[in-house]
Amino acid sequence: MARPLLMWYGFLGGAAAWALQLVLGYGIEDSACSQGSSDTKSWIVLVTVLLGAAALGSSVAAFLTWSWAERRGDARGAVTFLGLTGMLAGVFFLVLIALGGLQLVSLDSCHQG
Amino acid sequence: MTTVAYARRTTEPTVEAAPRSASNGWWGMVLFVATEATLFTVLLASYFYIRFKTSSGWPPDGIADPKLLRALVMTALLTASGFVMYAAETGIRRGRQRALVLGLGATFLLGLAFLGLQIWETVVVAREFTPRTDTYGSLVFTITGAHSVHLVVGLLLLAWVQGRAWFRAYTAGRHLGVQMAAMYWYFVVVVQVAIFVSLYLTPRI
Amino acid sequence: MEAHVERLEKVWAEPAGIVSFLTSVDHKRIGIRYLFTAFAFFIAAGIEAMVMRAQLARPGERLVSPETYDQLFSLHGTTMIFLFVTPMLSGFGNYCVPLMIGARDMAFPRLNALSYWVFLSSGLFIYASVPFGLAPNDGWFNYVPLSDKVFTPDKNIDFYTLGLIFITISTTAGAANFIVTIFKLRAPGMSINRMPLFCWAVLATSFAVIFALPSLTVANTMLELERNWGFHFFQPAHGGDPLLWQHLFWIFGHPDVYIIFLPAIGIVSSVVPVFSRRSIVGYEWLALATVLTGIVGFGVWVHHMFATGLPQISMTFFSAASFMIVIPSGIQIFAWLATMLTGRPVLKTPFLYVLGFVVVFVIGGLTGVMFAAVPFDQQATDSYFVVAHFHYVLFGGAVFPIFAGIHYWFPKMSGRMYHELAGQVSFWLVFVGFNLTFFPMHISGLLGMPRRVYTYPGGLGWDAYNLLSTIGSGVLAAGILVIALNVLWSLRRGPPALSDPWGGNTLEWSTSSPPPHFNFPVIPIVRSADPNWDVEDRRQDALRLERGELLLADGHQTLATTVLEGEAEDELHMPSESVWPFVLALSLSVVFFGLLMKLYGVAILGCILVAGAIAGWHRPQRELQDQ
Repeated sequence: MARPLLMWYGFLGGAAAWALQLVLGYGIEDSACSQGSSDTKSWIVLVTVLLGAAALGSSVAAFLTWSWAERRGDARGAVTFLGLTGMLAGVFFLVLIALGGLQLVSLDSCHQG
Repeated sequence: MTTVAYARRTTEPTVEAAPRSASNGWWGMVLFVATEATLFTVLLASYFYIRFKTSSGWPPDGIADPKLLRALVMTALLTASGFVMYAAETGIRRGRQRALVLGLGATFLLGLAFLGLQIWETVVVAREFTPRTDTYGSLVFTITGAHSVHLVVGLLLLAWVQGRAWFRAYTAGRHLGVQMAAMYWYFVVVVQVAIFVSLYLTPRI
Repeated sequence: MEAHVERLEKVWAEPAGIVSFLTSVDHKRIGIRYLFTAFAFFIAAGIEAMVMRAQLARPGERLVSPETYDQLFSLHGTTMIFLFVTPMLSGFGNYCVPLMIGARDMAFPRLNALSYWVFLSSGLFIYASVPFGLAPNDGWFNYVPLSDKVFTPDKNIDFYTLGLIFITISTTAGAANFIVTIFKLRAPGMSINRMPLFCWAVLATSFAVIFALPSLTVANTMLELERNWGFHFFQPAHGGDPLLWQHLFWIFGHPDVYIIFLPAIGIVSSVVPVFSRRSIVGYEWLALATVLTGIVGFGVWVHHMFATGLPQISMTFFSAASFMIVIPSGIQIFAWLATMLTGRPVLKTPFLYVLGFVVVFVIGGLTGVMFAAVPFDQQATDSYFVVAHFHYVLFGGAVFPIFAGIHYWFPKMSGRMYHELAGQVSFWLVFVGFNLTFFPMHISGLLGMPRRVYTYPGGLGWDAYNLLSTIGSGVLAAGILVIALNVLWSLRRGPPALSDPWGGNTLEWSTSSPPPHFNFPVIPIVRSADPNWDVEDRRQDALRLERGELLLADGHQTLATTVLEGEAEDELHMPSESVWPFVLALSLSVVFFGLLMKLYGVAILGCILVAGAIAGWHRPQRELQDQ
């Protein structure tokens, strides 16, 4: 049971983490700004850091899946494939999450764009 | 044409006739449920979107907080029907035809009771506000209405499967129709829970 | 061996005539129908464009009224997106996916037929508005409050909302069908990493459809309710928000452009290795890029709303994702280029169109990246610059690959070769015509020309560019005419084609041109990602035919395999001809007609007919498995 879970987390975990960051981050900011406050910084930091870690974790999980497949032998290469692509995907989504959090450095108001 | 080999080779794969993983019909229902679940996610997201954009109170002025009791009873009934459906499914997995027929029937009745309560709820609520009152009304009626439509489809599915069960169409090893109807029914139950939490509970936070 | 094939032919035979036409569930016939129907809508949308270009050729032209012009651009966009590109690519998917994975049909053959009949019905539904002068007229994204009852009181928008809800049934059913087919019906040994990249593309697209279309359905339903039943969703005076429409539309609308783009690049990934005469470079990268594009495509929708006054901080999420989404596409371009440069290219028509795709799509991608920057977007949005951008990515990214696919698979589908010189002439006309039409729009856009204007005053510096665009549209139309004539002529007079005229690497080239109804006499066993180049394996297939192994001739049968590894699991029985898909599509038409005309009794009758059709469809049949 653990192996398939690890494998799918490795392949899809980065995407799920990024999607969650987008929905939570955008949701928090949009509702806060509509209500008149702009005190969202700490939430965004929390969301970005936690979900960034989750994306990184998915790369690690994918790596573990890949090395397990290498050791055990993967006749048709399907698990190796998921491991390799999962590693790349995890890094890609980590960058995406970080970029989404970049706003914390330079912007901090509900100022209309 | 020369081969530029890429993936690894293996020995000849064997063909076994015993199905091991989920069937086509199962996948088809999963995908259908996925798309309908997305529909409800979008509806509820629209509800929260409008709500967080509304700086005055929620529900808007002139509309009271949604009453909990009837909705709680409805949700409890439907949740119970989910467990009954599960019992029916477990029953046929062990080859128990009676458990299947009784379970399907009970699920149907519980669903029908829910529908009756939903209609009553709608009529009562409509005395206070309608979809034409404002966006709150439109959203509430559209969301619960969409759920009711899905529930009615679920009742029709249950009736169909019930009919087939009477003719002993299902066995312990082959009851895909039951699995598919059950999966759809669980979806209907889960959506109701989400609606109850979103529309009835969260405005009180 | 002949006895085996004869048995298959008998089981799978479809009689000629109108009954067979209405009841066929053969994915190849349905696929070809999709192609012809979608191409017909393409011509219609093209004519709409030609009229627009004629109207804009000179300043102050009076060829059409502003009201007519509104209908022209709205119908053009709606038709191209919903009735041409998406169904056209569905058509290729329908035809090619079962063949490429070594299956005998799609997972749900009757649902497949339904998808086609519903597509046809919904297209006719929308176009029924035209003779009444009631075509949709508020743009293909139909913003409120313009599309609300108060500003568009007539039925134009109801044709739009109901027509799109109608076609969504077709697209969603098709997506579910593709996913289950690709997951479960692949040939033994075809693990997920050996499946053709075209199938990866269709898989990613289909998942995008499952999750994106509901948002459009919700938006259209809300608008219908607001327009006709007095509901309120988008009106600030009643607590609503017009931006809700924009959000709901674009949450669908942006993934939709990837729903369009991904199958098209699947075609590119099919053509490139064959015409470079080498295995594709970077299979894993291409598969991953396809999946990433499909996923990240869901996170950029607000970039269509950068000019609506949203808070800066929220826009940055979407700006970041809009920049990053370029990366997978870039990787794909490099993988294809690497394949071409390390291969030995054959410059035939399909390959030329792929080269055209690379050039045009990359240009479109570059202007797209520019739009990812909020400040630039806010200057250039709703100008002709964006019109140029999206035509470069849509025409470049989808239509060029479609034209490549038409020529590439024409021999397989028809059993005849098209005329190569005509193909090459068509390419140059299309390529030159396209660029002449759309490149000047970058300039007129930057010079301030807004989109969706039915005319413009002279002396603003836009005149020459508009005239060039109009001339270009004529050249482009000529190129498309050549394609159509080539296809029609070659269907009659083209020389017979081999089963494998190109030296293809995927399984559709291992069977005859056109394939028999049952596709393959035996289910092939696959051991690499280029199965048709594995000569020894294909010889083994022929030997197994003689032995009758994996023949599966007891009815309409195909093989089910596991999702990841492609291990054979089960022998499936598929439905054969059925009239129910056609009847169900007709019943749905009754429902939508009733809703359009506000004849709710008719709509309810339609629902009863729908229930009846579904019941008839599922009437238990003895030879089928419990489906």
